[in-house]
Amino acid sequence: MIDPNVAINAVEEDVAVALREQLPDGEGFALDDAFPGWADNPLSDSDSTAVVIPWRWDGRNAGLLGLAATRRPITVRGVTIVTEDRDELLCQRYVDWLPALSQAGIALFTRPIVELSTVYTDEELRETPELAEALDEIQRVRDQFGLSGTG
Amino acid sequence: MPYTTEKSMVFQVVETWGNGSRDVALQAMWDLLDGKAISELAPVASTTLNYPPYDTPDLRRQHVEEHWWGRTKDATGAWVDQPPYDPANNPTTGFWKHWYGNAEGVFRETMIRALAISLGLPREDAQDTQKYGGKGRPLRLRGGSQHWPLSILWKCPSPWYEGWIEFKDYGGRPANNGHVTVVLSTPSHGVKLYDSPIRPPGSATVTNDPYHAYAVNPTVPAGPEGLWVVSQAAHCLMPTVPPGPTPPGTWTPPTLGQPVMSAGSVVCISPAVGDGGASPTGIPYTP
Repeated sequence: MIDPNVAINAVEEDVAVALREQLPDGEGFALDDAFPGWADNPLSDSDSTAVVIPWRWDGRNAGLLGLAATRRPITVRGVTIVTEDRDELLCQRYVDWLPALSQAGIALFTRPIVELSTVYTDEELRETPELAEALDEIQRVRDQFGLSGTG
Repeated sequence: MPYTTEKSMVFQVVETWGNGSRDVALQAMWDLLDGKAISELAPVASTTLNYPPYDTPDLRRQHVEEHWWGRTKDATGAWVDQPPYDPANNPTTGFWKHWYGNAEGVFRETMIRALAISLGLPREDAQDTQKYGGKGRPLRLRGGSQHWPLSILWKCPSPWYEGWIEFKDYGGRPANNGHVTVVLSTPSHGVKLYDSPIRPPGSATVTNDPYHAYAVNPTVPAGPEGLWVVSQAAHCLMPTVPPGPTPPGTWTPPTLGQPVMSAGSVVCISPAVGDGGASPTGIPYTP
């Protein structure tokens, strides 16, 4: 059984570790006021083995996502589900990044990148030795780090 | 356009057309100054561009007006400018993704300035255009013999629409002793970008290319014109490990999108014309 106050403290520390350097100089962590009354009646399963904590972090952009600092005020909203594994708390985080990117002045401009392997057969691709070598290198890296597929 | 940069068949025809004659280049600049519709300029109608999906001059004009500039036809069949920006109902121009603006104006001004440099003339001011438009220009607005070759490239994606003009005077007196390069840097129009510059030798764009532009590691140009890309052989979107529950204090903000790892040896590719490459002998302008 997880004490909601313990869970809140864990999430506050968790969010602060992730965001305080990139988004300092603001209100920092707070329970998300989009859910009034939550603190008195926390969202949890019946036996409190999982507690849901909606939160927000307010700060100024000092380099969000490793990009240049704009000093613009940014609010990041998220939900963290706190569970317990033996005596250790675990956090599963769902963060709404798109509004934060918009507030940070980060524009995405891109095109869908398509793998040639979805268009041509492996045999066709390997007709060019340089491409065959590159495909082998990519597969080695994927295998080494357990990165399969593109998802 | 499966590459990030392309020559584009229509621009290669524009080059053939405009670089072939100083008089043609002069008239093109004046047409642009005088506000003539760009879709009505001669290269758009060149029969050498009769390939699907825009395989007639009318379809190409429609493509330019609708997709490039965001215009629509009114009840009389006339092209009318795009409506004002509206975040809900008109947030983008033409087929450009996530961008609204005056693409036609940027393109027109880019080509006017590129042609003026090519021809060794000042960028004509509005008073002169008003005074002489459609009536023939005085010597000071058309004189000289300079006619530097113009080259056009299209680079995408960028956050907004820009035309870049690079030029160099090699010195000396000859009329063609210099060059002008235009790079149209545009927003994405959403088409796919392939993760390698290499194509299988039997792929459709390679085998169906009437100009035989595709080559891997060419040692010499196949002709007087060309567009080569130097890159690693493949680029892989590296999947990120899905985050599971972890103890507090063990996460960081994510990478923006999927990180890419380039792999393999450095190669030089001459793309097929159908993929945006340049015909080694140019593409003729054929009325």
